Amino acid sequence: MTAISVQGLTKRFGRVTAVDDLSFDGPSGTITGFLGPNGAGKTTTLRMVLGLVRPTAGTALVDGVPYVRLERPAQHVGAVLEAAGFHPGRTARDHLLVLAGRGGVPARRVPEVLAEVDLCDAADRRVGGFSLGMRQRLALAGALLGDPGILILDEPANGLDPVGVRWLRTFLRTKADAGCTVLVSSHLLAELALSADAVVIVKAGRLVAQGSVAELMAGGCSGVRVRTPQPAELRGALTARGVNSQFLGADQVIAHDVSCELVGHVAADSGVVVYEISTERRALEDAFLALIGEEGAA
Amino acid sequence: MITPLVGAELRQLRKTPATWGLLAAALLLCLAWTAMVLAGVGGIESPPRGSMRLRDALFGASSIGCLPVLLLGVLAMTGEFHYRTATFAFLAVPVRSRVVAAKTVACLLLTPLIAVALVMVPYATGVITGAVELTLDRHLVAVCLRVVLVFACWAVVGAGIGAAVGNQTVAVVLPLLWFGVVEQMSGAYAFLQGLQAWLPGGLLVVVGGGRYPGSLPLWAAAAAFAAYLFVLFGAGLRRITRMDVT
Repeated sequence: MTAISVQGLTKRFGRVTAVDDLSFDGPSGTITGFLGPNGAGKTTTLRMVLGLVRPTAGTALVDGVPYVRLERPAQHVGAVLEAAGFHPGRTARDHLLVLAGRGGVPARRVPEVLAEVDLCDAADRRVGGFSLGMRQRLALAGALLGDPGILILDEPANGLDPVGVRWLRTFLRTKADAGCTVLVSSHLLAELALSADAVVIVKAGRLVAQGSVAELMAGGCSGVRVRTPQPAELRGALTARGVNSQFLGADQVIAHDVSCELVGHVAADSGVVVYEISTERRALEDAFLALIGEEGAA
Repeated sequence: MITPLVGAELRQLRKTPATWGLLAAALLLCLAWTAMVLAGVGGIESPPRGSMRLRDALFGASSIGCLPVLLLGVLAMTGEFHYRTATFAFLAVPVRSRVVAAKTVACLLLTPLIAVALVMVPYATGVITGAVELTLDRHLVAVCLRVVLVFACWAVVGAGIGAAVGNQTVAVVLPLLWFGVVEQMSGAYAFLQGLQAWLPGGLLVVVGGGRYPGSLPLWAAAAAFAAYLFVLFGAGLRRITRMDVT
């Protein structure tokens, strides 16, 4: 089932087209990474999904209806969109109590979500004195108030320290495993590779690719890397077997589109000494850069 | 009955330092006015000690609260955009007109407390200093009700300006210039006095039970005031419901 459905979404600000005929789905119970370079239209898309920005064309549905038609949105969707959106003179607890009141959520949820994001000690401090990471946690607490089945997070790892990033990753995975749908935009590609089930990649407001992380990382330039004192002999043997390969430095060869086992057999058959052999997997970052056509992409 | 949404807006007002700053400013200005009235007692053309005129003059000190109440409405409405908390507000309540309505009602619910405080503080000061006697009569109740009505009108005007303008600085400066300069000029110059009766400040004097040369009848003043509110909130709702919250 699809929890988030975006169809033909377009947004123009004057002459600038921020999002251009974008379509993708966020399946239930999965973490979908939403990737794109700066200015790709990620935030605008998320804001259109959440009814904050009016689309020029297209539709964005949450649980099958536009966000603005949800009866109790806080109990369907939790969103973290910007860390700066807090009144500096109010405490974290007051901020959440106001949100709870607006969302029709019982006030008893406030201490619960504060504990969930590990902000109990700072609950009665004014938000003006919070670090960026604390603000992100507070925003996440607000998103969790209604115990929603869908989380939409815009760069939630911004400002978090490594411990916080790890905590967030575990937290999102736990939520997804419990059936929660997560749509998360991030520029921390390695982080998404660890946590996301699928990714949607956009560039200049258009969809570039959509699929599972494994699919994206598998495509293109995967290979088998061999460290050997006889690279020329190995390459010759591989070429004789019709395997495309190339040198990597003085003592390495990488063989493309071939299994590790086959390379091992070729090396053994030709009497080449092998110090190390490993499958070379393309990182999500490489796949991302290749898809968006950045220079230096693998 | 207070809905959870109005309750949330009331909490937000209560927990905003600016609300208490405005109330403190109103009380200080009111006390300063009271001090001036009491200082003049016994002077030429000043109301004598213990008189009804002195009592009314003390009640008049509450009128200084109009401006803070107006600014309370402005800040309640524009604060969401100034501090970029509108995202949270409209995520929780996607029907944006409901947020505008709840904020306006929250301001209205606060005004009786402010009004009674600003009537009772100068009166109590007068009683404590022996300038007037403590008399809990119908006149006192009538004054309180009238001040509540006038403050409620000013709060709604502030909320309407805040909704229509959005930018907090402009929304604060604009009414200060309007009521402090434009409307004052209309009262000061004979050729503008016909205009005064149709301006919001002039209308509110009538709505609050006051009269002046050329003022409109109560029903006409109330209707004209309602028309101003209709325009302000119409423009505000159009702006807020159509805007992209980026």
